[in-house]
Order: sequence, then C-alpha cells, then structure tokens
Amino acid sequence: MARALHLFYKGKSYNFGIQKIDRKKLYGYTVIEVKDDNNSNCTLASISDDGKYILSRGCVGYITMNQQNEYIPSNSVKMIDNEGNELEKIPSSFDLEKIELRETSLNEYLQLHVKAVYQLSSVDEEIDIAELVKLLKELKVLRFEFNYRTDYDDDDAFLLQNEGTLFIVTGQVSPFEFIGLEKVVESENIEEDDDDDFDFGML
Amino acid sequence: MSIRKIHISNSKARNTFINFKGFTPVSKAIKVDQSNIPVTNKKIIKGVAETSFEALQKKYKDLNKLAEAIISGNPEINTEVTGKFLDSSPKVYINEDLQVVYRVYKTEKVFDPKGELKEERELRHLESNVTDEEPLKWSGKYFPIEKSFNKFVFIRTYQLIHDSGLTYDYLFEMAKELEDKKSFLLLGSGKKGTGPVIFQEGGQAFRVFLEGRTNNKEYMLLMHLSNLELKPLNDD
Repeated sequence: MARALHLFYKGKSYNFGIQKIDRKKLYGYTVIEVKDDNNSNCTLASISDDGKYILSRGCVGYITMNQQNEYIPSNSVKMIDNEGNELEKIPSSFDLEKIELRETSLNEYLQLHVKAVYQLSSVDEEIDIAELVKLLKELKVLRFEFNYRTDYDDDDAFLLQNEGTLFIVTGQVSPFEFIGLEKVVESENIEEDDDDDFDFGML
Repeated sequence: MSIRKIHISNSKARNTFINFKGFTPVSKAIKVDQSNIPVTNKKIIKGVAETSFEALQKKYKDLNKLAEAIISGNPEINTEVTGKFLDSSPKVYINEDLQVVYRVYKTEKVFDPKGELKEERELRHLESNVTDEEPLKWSGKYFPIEKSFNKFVFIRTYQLIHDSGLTYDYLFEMAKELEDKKSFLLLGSGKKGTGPVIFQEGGQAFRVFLEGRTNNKEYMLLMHLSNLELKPLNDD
C-alpha cells in the first residue's frame, strides 16, 4: 500500500496517499532519436581532457574532496548550517504521525518556486476529501512543510483543490519584495508564432 | 540571481524592454569534513568506453572468455586514466560501436500519456521569443485570481523590475491595473498575445500570466510561467 500523509487541521486528521503529476502523465512525452549515417543509434558521451578517450555512460563519477584535494569518505562528511551548527536529518513527511496544516495567503502560494505537484487520494473514507475540499473552497490554500525523503532540506507545501480533487504543490517560496522608485536595478543583458489555440498539451 | 530582459507591451500597446529576475532555491545544508571545512564533489574518470562492459562484450563475444580475461589481465581497467580528475568534458555523439560520429540525424517521437507512439516528426527547435523585435503582447485575456489560481501550476515565477523612472511608472501602472482587476493577464506571442513564450533557445514553451500587487508607491509585478494544468490524472 502507498505511504500516507497524516494531515491535521483544527483537531481533525486527514489521511492521504499521493501520486506525482507531471506533463508526461497528463499530455504525453517526446523522445529524441539520434542516428548516424549507418542508422546506428547514437548516444551522448564525454571526451577526456586530453581528447584521447571517449567516456561513455557510467565512465564518469564523483568523489568528495577537502580543500587539500584529499579524498573524504562519505561517512566522514557532515552537514552544518550557516552558523556552523551541525544539522540533523529532517524525517520524511510519510514517517510523521501528524502534519499540522496552517492558514496562509494566496500571495504566498503565488510566489512558490515549484518543485513537484501531487494528487491526493484518501486512504480512509471519501469523507476526508469532501471535507477538505469544502474547507479549501473558502480558505483557498493551506500550508505545511513537506519532505519526501528523510533529508536535510524540507520544502514549502501548499494544499489546494480544483474541481473536487485535492493537490499538493511543493517548492520554495520566492522572497520577492515590493520595490519603489528609489530601487533601481542595473541590467546585465543576456539573452512567434500566431497560434491562438490555448492548449497546454501542445506546449 | 542574474537579471534578464524581456520585451513586453502594456494594455495601451506601448512596448519596452524590461528587466526581470527569478529565484534559485538554495540548500541550507553545507557539506563539511570533521573539522567543519567545506568539502566539494569533483568529477573523476571511472573508466573509458573501450574498457566498458559493452565494449568488452563485443570484443570477447563469449561471457566466459570475458570473465577469464578479466581474471587474468584486467582488460576492464585503463590504469592510465582511471581515477584522474575531469575538468571540462566536451560532449560528443557515439554510435553503437562506441565510435565518435560527426553527422547525426535527429527525429522526435511523440508518445501519448499511455506510452503509445502518436507521431514521428522532425526535431522541433523552439526559438526564444522574449527579446524579439515584436514584443510579447497584452492579450486582454484576464483570469480572475480567485477562480484561476488552482487551474494552472505556476512552475516558475519571475519579478519584473524597473531600471529607470520611466520603467518604474510603466510597471507600477501595470501592477495597479492588474491589482484593481484582481486578475492575471495572459501575456504572449503572436498577433493576439495568446501564443506561447519561450525564454531560452531550444527551451520549453510556457503560458505567461502577469500578476500585479501594489503597496503605496511600491509595486510587485510577477510573471507566472505555466506549462501544466492542475487537473487529476486520467486513470483509465
């Protein structure tokens, strides 16, 4: 059985399984096939610095080094925050008995730098969904911290509904601020079609 | 976060190049050694194509012979380069014989959500259109925020920012107009401003929705990018 999230709001618990949503699942996907003159399948590879060797898939790896270029085994590595405090891993949200939902503004949600979108399905009774849908029609969004896997960073997560289906959108809220006339930003320059069809599948 | 440019027009069809910036999430965790000195990951060579399993399998044909060769002579290891650091590593295409190819033919296969092939076509290259001579247009299509925030997933959000008094007036007015309407505005390419927006050469196409907020003389004009509707998966 899929792992469940135990969401909690105003003394009531709601248990849900989640399923990731992406473009591939909604609209399909494309695969680029690359062939040579002899119709042989081609793949991308790297070339060594001296140009003498081809490095195909699996030929390149990563190791952890200190500032003296000495190898550091993974069990000797730890994580600290900006102030030098050692960090503990944050448990996966699926391992928590209770995830408290809190009210928030729509503006915060609209500043989310999205990482993933999930569709929720009730693991108990359908009543869970109906209750929360009703609540979210009024409140728009509810917020909590979400961590898919036990790790050092968790994400901001927002619970919302659309036409009776519950969704979680995760990511990090962008710290955009209001700007006034005095705050002039220097620019550093870097870098049609007439289709009128409002179709997300063709994007 | 770097500042980039976009060519847009407002509701009065007045156009100009405007700066915008995004946000890159950063981890709060810093990886260090036991002395709290930051460590880094470096790329190394683990092996080369000619000593890979695929290459050796082709060379020896029989797996038992390959096993014997590995036991007796270590053909799977290139001692000259294995373990060396790799700095720049230019990309090339190689064929099934693990040889570099200098001319390739690309086709794009389109699959539906069930994984069935729908179409095979020439590779589609999407050209960036955010700094074209023709500005992205104010389509006039408004989406009330309270009714549409849950219809689309805004994958990325950028903030439009002024670089002069003139562009301040221009952006503040836009933000105020949208705030008063309590709506997103579809900004896009094409004659009607409803076409997709492509920010990078060969990149993805997005629908762009402008949202405005003001606070006295300050403003926040956000550009929400979406290529995904918030709708349930079809489990059929």
